Amino acid sequence: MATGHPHIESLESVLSSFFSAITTGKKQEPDSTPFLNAIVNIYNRTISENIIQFALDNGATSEAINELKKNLGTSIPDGIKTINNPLTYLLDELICNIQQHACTDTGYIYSNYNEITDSVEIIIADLGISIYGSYVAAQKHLDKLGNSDAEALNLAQNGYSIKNLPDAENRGYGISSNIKMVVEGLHGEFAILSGNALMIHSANKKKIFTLPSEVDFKGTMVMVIIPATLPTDFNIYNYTS
Amino acid sequence: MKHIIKIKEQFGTELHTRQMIEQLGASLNNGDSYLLDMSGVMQISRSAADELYNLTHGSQRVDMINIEPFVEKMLSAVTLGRFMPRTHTSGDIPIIQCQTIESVIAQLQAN
Repeated sequence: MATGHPHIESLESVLSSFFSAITTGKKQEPDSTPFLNAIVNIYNRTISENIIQFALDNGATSEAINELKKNLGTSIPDGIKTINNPLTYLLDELICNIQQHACTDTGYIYSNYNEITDSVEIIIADLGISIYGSYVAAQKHLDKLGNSDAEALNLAQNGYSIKNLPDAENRGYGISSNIKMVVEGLHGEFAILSGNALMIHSANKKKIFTLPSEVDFKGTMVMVIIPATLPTDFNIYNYTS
Repeated sequence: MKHIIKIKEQFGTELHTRQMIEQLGASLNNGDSYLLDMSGVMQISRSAADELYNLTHGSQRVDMINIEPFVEKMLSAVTLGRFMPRTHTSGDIPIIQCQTIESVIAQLQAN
């Protein structure tokens, strides 16, 4: 998806620029975009004004989601109505994950309508204990986890839950169902940076990286690009039940 | 000579990165022994815990005391991980090991 922009075509391009930026230590790349800037800022713990920072109690969380949707609603030509349901589902599930597992009291969300690509760019982030740390705190799947943030990401995207639920309910819904909805349903792209691991998932790419040791994000950052117009065959119930 | 280092005073309540621990290691004198007082350190990343393992199992005499519950769990997990065979069978995506930023970018741009 997302073609035609002179510099940023896809999430993999944004992430390439991000890694280039943190290598050079530059605050901004020459071809920087608001989305790339937001990723770099959250990574550097520099929370700029276009990033919504919110306390993780239910009231503040709802307020933050509403503010994000209101901002998007004013910038998307047709408004937010068509993508409201999947967007709400995405935000609710991922913020709920932060509330339940990240051991932090603050979350961060960012959104931008990219009019060139007619897509919505979203970041949901925390500076908590990372996905690996969440499994460790819950003492779940330690036999499979090894000493690897990448393995923790692989478990999470594959539906291994952090919750202490009976096996039948162990659906790992927060991440795995959202990836499916974004990539298969919305034809979008999904990436997670957690610890020193990165996962990127799109229609033609499904990769997990153990990153070089100089890349070390204490927390979890989910980055998503979805089209501002829903595919005609999209049915949210294929991903929520 | 024995030294006690209060980690919270030096680094705060969260140990974020491997580099923090590497800096700590670099500041220690060979021949002396150290006790890292971990009281009040409530969070630690996997990579920082892994580097602490290196520090406490390396050539220098370094031990830890007063470890908070989550930090204890993280240290146990990375220790366990070091003794597990390196087979990645839990998820369905192969894990790509990247040693350099350039290799990450190349992998991102490859199909």
